[in-house]
Amino acid sequence: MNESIALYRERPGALHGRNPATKLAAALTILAAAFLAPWIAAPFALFAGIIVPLAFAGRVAGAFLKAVFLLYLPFAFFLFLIHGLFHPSTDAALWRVWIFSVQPEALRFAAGVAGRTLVMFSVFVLLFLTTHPGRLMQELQNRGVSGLAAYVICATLQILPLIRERARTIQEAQTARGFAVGGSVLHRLRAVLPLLGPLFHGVILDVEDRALALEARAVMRKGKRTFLTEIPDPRWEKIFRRGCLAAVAAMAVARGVAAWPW
Amino acid sequence: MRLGGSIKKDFTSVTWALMPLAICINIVAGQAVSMLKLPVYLDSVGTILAGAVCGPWAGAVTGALSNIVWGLFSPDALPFFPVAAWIGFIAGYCAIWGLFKTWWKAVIAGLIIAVTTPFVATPIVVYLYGGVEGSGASLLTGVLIKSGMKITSAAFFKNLMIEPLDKVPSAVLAFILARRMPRRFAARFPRAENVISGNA
Repeated sequence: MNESIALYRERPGALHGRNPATKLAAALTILAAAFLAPWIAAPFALFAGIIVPLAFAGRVAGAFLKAVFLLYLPFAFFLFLIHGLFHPSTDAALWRVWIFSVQPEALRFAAGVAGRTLVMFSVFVLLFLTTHPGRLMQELQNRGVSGLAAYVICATLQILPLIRERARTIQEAQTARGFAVGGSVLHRLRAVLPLLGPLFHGVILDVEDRALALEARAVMRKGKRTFLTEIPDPRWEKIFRRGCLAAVAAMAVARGVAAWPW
Repeated sequence: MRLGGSIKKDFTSVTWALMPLAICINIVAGQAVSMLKLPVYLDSVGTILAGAVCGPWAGAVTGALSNIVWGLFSPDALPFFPVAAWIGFIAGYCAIWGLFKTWWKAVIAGLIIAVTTPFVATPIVVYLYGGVEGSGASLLTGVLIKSGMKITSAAFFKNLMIEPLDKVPSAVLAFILARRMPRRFAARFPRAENVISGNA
């Protein structure tokens, strides 16, 4: 995995070329649909009917399914374990084993959470698989997000591999000097210090260089910036984003009307 | 302390330069811990440090951005950005209150962080995740639900029991790292006086 660009995979798929704002709008619309739909099955239908086909269209289906299930399966396991077995017994129990009882109400609750989280995990995995973080940040910066916040996120992704490399070097150096990993919890907790201490000192030295670099590039000045690359934003994507906004508004109104105590 | 004016003063170019490095410390500390097989996360050491030396608002921004970066790898972390922001924010205030001056005061700072974060984390974990996280610690929530607690209270008390185990070592570690900083460099941070006593 190329850790400097997080989940992102470079593929010639149908999603990579779209404007990041369009993909973000679509992701948030699907997410809103999952949270606003009154049916338990709706989020699962969104996953199977929209998100998975999109992953195939973006040619990232393999990586997508792997990432989603690595995130989702441990969570879903504990969700159904706890809501399935750990609720206090009532008469409505479906079945009982020893002190554990399974109740329809609790299962329905768990299924609702399971559906919404499946959609939440999967839309963001798909978004980050098909959108380079740098492009996403550039587009957000065009739309008013602070350039400094974008800088922090992009800079972190760039220096993370270097810092990890340095952490490895420090660990090897300390091991060569007799640094042991075993022992009691307190002993091992103290072992964090010889690893993080030198790393932190190096980082503090970097802070000064980086602050100078920021000053030299006038990052702290206000005003509009131009970018080296332009992100294309065709007309139909603008219309699509308006459509997304309208769809979210319509779903929210429909949900409000349905919940109104007539 | 005067709020409006001091917020801007905390966000110097040194503060912005520290943020990505503090986030990297969060991530690397989290990995060091799993290598040492410790039952804690320590993944907010960098955030606590940033809050202590650059002020509460800089700590909050560091925490929030840290979770967003983590979310690019693993999106389940994204909704918890207010929790990380709160950790950086309250750590900044603990430093203003002088709690990063000695190690036992840093323990108190860790406790303050630990007992206040469940108020931010519980609504998120209950509403979005049904009170459950994908780790064994969730079994504690299960036992509390079984004992008759509502999901919200169970998730809250589970956090209250688990958080000190993580936040106290995190705060002490942040304190030690801050104290070991060469004074020439420490002086560049907007709130260096919070971690360095007069004649250290």
